[in-house]
Amino acid sequence: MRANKTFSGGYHFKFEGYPRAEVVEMEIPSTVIIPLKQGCGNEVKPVVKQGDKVEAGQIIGKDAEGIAAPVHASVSGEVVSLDQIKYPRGVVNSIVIESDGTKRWEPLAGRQADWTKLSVPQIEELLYTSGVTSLDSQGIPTNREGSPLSARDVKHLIVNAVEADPYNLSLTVLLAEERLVQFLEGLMILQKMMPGAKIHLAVNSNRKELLAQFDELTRENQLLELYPLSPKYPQGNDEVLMKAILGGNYANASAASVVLTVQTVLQARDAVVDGKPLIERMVALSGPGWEHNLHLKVRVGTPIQSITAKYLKKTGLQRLVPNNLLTNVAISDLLPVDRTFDNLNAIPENTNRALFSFLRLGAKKSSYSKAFLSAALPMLEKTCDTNVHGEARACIFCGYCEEVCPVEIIPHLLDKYVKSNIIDEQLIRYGIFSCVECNLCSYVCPSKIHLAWNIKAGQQMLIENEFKQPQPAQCGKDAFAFHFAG
Amino acid sequence: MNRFRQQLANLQNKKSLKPLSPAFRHIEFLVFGPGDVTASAPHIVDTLDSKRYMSMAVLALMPLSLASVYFYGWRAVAMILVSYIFAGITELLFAFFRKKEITEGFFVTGLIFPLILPPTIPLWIVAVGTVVGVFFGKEVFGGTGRNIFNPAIVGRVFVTIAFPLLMTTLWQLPFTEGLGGFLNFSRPDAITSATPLGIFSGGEAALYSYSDLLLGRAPGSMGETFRLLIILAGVFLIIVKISNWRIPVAYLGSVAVFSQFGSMFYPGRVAPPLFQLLTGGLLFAAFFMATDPVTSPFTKQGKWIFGLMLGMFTVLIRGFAGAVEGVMFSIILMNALTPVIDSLVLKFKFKPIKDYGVV
Repeated sequence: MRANKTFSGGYHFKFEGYPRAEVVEMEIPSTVIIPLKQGCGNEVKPVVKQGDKVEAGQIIGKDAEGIAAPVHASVSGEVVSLDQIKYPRGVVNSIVIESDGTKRWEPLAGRQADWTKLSVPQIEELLYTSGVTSLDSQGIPTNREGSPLSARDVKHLIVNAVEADPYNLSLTVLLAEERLVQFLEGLMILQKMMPGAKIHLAVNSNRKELLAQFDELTRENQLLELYPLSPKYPQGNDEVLMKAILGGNYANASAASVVLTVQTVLQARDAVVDGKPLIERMVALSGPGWEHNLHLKVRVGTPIQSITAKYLKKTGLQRLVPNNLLTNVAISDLLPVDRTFDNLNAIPENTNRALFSFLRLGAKKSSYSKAFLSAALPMLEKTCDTNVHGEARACIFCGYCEEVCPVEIIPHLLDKYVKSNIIDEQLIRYGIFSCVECNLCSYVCPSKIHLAWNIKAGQQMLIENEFKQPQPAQCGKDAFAFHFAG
Repeated sequence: MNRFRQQLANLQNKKSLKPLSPAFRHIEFLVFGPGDVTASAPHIVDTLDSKRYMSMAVLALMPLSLASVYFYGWRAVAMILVSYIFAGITELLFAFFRKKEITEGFFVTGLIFPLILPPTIPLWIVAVGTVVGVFFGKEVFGGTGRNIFNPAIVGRVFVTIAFPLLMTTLWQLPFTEGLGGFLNFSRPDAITSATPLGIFSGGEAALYSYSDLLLGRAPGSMGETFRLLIILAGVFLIIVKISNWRIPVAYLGSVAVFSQFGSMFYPGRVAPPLFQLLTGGLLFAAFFMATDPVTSPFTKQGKWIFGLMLGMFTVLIRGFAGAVEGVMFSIILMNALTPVIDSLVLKFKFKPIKDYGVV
């Protein structure tokens, strides 16, 4: 085990509505809507038409060039229509299937309980066909043609189990019972495919028992390097995590590194050993907007409406945000569960005009400053809602944004340049492109300035005015971002 | 409550009361928190807002204000009220002409300004000083967040130069027995011209012990005398992260070091460290005025440089200049240097682009 590494700044969140380690398998929905673009890769073309009967696990969408991973029917039934889904950022084609209610799914050909007997190309074929290669920011690298990063070039495989976001899918749930060993099995499968990669596992440092179990299980085979990291947001951000683990080597090594999540590794193992295609996800229901905060095992394509009808609080409006609450856009419940979901946040839209709100003691109010009673009661869970909590004001140079920034830039300084429309190399010198878009600066600002927006606007203006070449769109950086980045 | 809010809204829109509409709006937002929700990511925001930020500073100063009533009588409250009223009127006028809102900066300025004045000062001078401070110290620069100089200090410097005798020779002896000033309005019969700093620079023997200086038994400005409470209140503000710790540490440390050397080489002119720290407005300024986030550097290294140079100027002016009190001039000088300090620190902190290679 390595000693704790971390970054300067950051913030520990502790909100009420944290998902409990309770799993409910949601019943098969009557209809599923399967988007033809999920995760890494371009939109795929449908290979079924209206009226076709499909089996759960059957491929219904394929990429003609064989680069983007295929899309599967998550339930057995009949294709009702080929439709379009309106996402916050654009329109995506989809296939609507009416299910027959059965749970059975068609396993992939070529699967092997004893995966050691499989060759690397066979493993890659299974991973690709199951759709698992489209998960996480860069997908899972393979040696197949078209994989953005080739598996043999990967030097570092980093698994993010830090649980640093405001709300997280629970490791207890994911790694329950035999799943822990299966997770390590998944890592071994990936190691076989990426022989040059060193495996780094970053785990929430508060999970002492889990860390001890990992330590014990990997001491003999030296499978991975274990890093207990404090669950300080945004430790789970790819760049921040890579910097913490790769250290001084970051500049050279980051191009040959890939970051995956625990659920991805588990589903990779399921694809190879059980032949399970990507038709199901474990999704945490987080936030005070849910009646019950639990984990749902849900089929891909399940309309979010069926989840909200059952579990959402009936009083008041809630804002739904997938995965990372601080960085993604709000979505409507008309959208379906996507294969990239692992968390659905429901935050109450609080429009109450509280009396003398600024004078309250605030035992349960979350704040970076210690100006509330909550500072003396750190164990209490804080309230979480979408209220702005204050009027917009001019910057008073309090310095909080600089203190929380994980990449050591000065957000208020960049914000002022952008607002004054002074767009030149000075901004680049002050590190505007180091921003990892964690949105912490906008979160802590007492003057309610949209610092992160303005920094992003500054970046875009610099690219437009050709002070910097635009980065080629990375496979996964924009996979989720295509739909959901805010 | 809804009816009250409706009435406030009506008053804001009334044509005949148009100049007062920023005031009604301000009252509305004081009483009722905002009902707006965030537009997009990050969806949730910190609960701290500008009002609470300023209120914490006022909260820290409340015990000190009460103490000044104990030492100097209810006249202290009259001074504070006059200061708030005139600061508010100035803010209101600017909010009306600029078509912007009244912001919360004057909560703090309105309380700090009377606390750095002698308790004998006539109320009309308090009013003039407040208006000049808020006007020339803040509003002409563009309002809250844009000022170069600390408005309270600007007011005090103006009043000191315009009314020198009233500001430097008439100090009221504090009440120290029983319920003290709570039973009196003021104490017109106990006026002296000798503050501890004045006594030292006059070359006379000290009249007040260190415990007198700590516990407010020596004369001085209203808020600067109860030094023990200043330290506690200042540390409180640092703990709640409203004040930055670097500046008080740098300022006080620098005063201690410079005055140590100064008193070794110029014993008649420069007082020893402990005496320097416990006399004049130094402690109050170090914790409540130098730490003003708008007028002090925002970079960490800049804050150290700021505090260091403040200490240097304070000891220099106290020891070698005609003025008895060096703190307010040091702060004005260093406020002017703040942007330069920040620019220099940024220049060294962020390397020029060519060092990064091709962008």
